[in-house]
Amino acid sequence: MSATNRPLPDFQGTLLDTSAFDTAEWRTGTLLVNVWGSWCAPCIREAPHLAQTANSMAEENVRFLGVDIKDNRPAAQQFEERYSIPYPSVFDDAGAFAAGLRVIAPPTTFLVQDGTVRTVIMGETDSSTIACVVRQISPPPPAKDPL
Amino acid sequence: MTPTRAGSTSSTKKDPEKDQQTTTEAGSGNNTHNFDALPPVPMKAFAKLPGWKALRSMRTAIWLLLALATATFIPTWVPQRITNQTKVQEFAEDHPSWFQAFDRLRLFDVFDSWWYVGIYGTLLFVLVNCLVPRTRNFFRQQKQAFATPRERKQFPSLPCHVEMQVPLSPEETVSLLKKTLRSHRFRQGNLNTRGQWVAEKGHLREGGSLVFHWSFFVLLLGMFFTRAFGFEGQVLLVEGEHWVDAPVNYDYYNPGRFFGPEDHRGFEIAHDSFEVRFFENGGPADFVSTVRVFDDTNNNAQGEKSQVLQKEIRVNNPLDYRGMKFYQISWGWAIRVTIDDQNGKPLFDDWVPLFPGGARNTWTGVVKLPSLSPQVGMELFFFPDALLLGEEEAADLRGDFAGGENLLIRLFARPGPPTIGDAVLLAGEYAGDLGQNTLFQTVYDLRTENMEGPLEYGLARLSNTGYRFADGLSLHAPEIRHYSVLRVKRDPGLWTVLIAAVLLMFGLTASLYISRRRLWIWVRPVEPDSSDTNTATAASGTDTKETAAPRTPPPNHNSTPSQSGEKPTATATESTTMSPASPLSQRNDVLSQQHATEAAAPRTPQTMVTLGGLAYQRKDAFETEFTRLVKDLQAKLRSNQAHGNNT
Repeated sequence: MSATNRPLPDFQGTLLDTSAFDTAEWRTGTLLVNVWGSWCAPCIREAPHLAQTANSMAEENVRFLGVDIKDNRPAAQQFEERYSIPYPSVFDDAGAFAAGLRVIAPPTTFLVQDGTVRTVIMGETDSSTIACVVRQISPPPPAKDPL
Repeated sequence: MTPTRAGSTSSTKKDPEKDQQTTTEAGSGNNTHNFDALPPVPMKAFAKLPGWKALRSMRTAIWLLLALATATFIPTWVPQRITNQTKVQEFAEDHPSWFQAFDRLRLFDVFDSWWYVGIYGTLLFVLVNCLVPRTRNFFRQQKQAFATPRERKQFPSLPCHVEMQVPLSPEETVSLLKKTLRSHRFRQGNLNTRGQWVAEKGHLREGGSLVFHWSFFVLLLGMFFTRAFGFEGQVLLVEGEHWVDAPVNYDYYNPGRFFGPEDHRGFEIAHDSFEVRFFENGGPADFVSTVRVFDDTNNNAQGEKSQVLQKEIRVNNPLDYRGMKFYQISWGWAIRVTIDDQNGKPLFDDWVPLFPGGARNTWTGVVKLPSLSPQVGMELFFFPDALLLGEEEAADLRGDFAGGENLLIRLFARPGPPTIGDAVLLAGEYAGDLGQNTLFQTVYDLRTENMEGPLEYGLARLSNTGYRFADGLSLHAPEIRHYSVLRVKRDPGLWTVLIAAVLLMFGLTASLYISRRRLWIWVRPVEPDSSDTNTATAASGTDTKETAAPRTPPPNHNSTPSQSGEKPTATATESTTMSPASPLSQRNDVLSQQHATEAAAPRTPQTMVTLGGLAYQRKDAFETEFTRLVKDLQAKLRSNQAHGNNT
């Protein structure tokens, strides 16, 4: 079975800010999950693009979620601060959530539609790629009639 | 088997004329004893393709095997991406032009290269191509070899042959001969209508050779199966750490071509403790990792895992769970390092693995702070039991660290087993660009090309005595634990390879130590005092004997001795003739004289036995065996004769 067309795995844990996390609350709508680590060079390169895309899609009902793997919490928090990441990240130190997602290596980005993984981007990505895959399953809202 | 049964069986299954034709073709076609000549296999259309002959040649297989062995040596000199990406990167930086050429030839990925797989696949194909016809011939021989009795004139050309006249009926002689040959463990063919049959020993030599070659083929196949569907990885687990079986969680990951992420089991391992014991000389005696395994045994929707087993993993005593084996291969120290900024805000808090091999018995590690500006990196030197010399004592020591920082010169790790005593962590601070986007590195490397430093060395003790650097960063090392390195393997071809290796040894032994030898036996009735008798007792081995021998009818296999009225005469005797070339000849002359003396009385010989033997290997040993067989036969004849006399 491939990594796509699979349900988002069940996972309960904590976010980087130590608040509770449960995937049950993330099963509706369009969700973009980015698996990263503060020690990972490609993750560092793509972080500004992700932050920019998350900000630009804030009004399109596309939610973003980070999954920080094999990392330490202070370093990851520093990373989020440095690149102004606007979305929360799960602290997955044991790699259990990433295992459920069938991640091979970070960075990997998943596009999840109503709790089902639709698209997987393996490796470093950028704003245009993310926008493209999001548009495929979630067209932008129609422009308001100027009249 | 009675002569009657044997004769009837033979006559129903074999055409005597066809038998005779085969005999002539096989026996007299050449003088090189090519008795196993078989009808040619009809050529298929693809057999006419150019190069097909080479693909059916064992010589080609040997060349391919040599090519494979040579290719296997390449990683000795050329670093491989799968095992040492850092070395490959260094090679690329040092020799850019060579790197491109090597990379095009896939010399950095030898075992995944198209040419290596091509050699491997061709070798398997050639082996099958060689072995299938050979195996088919082997099984054909098992059925057909006994259908090639020999003409009388062919017997003298055999290295060992004997001819004797015995005072028994042909049926009794056949029975006695078969019994004797059976006791000598000869496999015997069917008696034909002319009173001939063939016995064979050592036919498993070819079988052994085939087992050897097929086992080798299966061995290669098993290795391919392991490489294609197996997996190998490595994990570093700090005491107290939890780990989940998934590709992303391995420190080294080398899956087979057909081993996907979905083939991982997703179970969880908790590394509870690690223990290492040392010999008195400081060498490690035992490494033990105690782990618990958690798995989703109920396959419930919540994915909750429960503990399924607890295990102590030792060297050569791996954890085997759901087809994955975890081998204990190494261990080390992991130190918990915390770094705060000048305001006390945590910047780093993690277990840092330390690796042995640093100067002065130190353990080394790395901390990177990529989120700071400028970025900061720290080189860590850990002394499990430090010896801090006085400044005067250390004055003459410049040590291994250029620059002669006081602390580095004064610090030594005490010799002996690496046990925790006065543990000290020394950190050298660098500032600048870590080069994570420009320089190849692993999480365990610190590339300082674009950094300044070491700016300062800070010393922290395990007693939570920290160090504050000039830029305000404070370093603490509050705790130390062991880490354990486990090699993880999934080897689906393991049993195939193991069984093939055992069979290969059996096959090799059989093909080396079993010699193949054959006997051709011809039993025919003769009239008492016939010319055949006279010829037989004379020196044989000439064609004239064949012409002198009367064309006697074959033994009546459809009647028992009592029915036919043929009963051995009590006073009968036998005479023997050996090939002049055989060392048996002299012995047999003596036997003939002895028997002639014993049989001064009336003679009623009834059956002539011609026995010829040939060994394909170890011919000297066969002559001894043949002599023993003939002696045994003669003893049985005498015993039979004595029994007849008594009755």
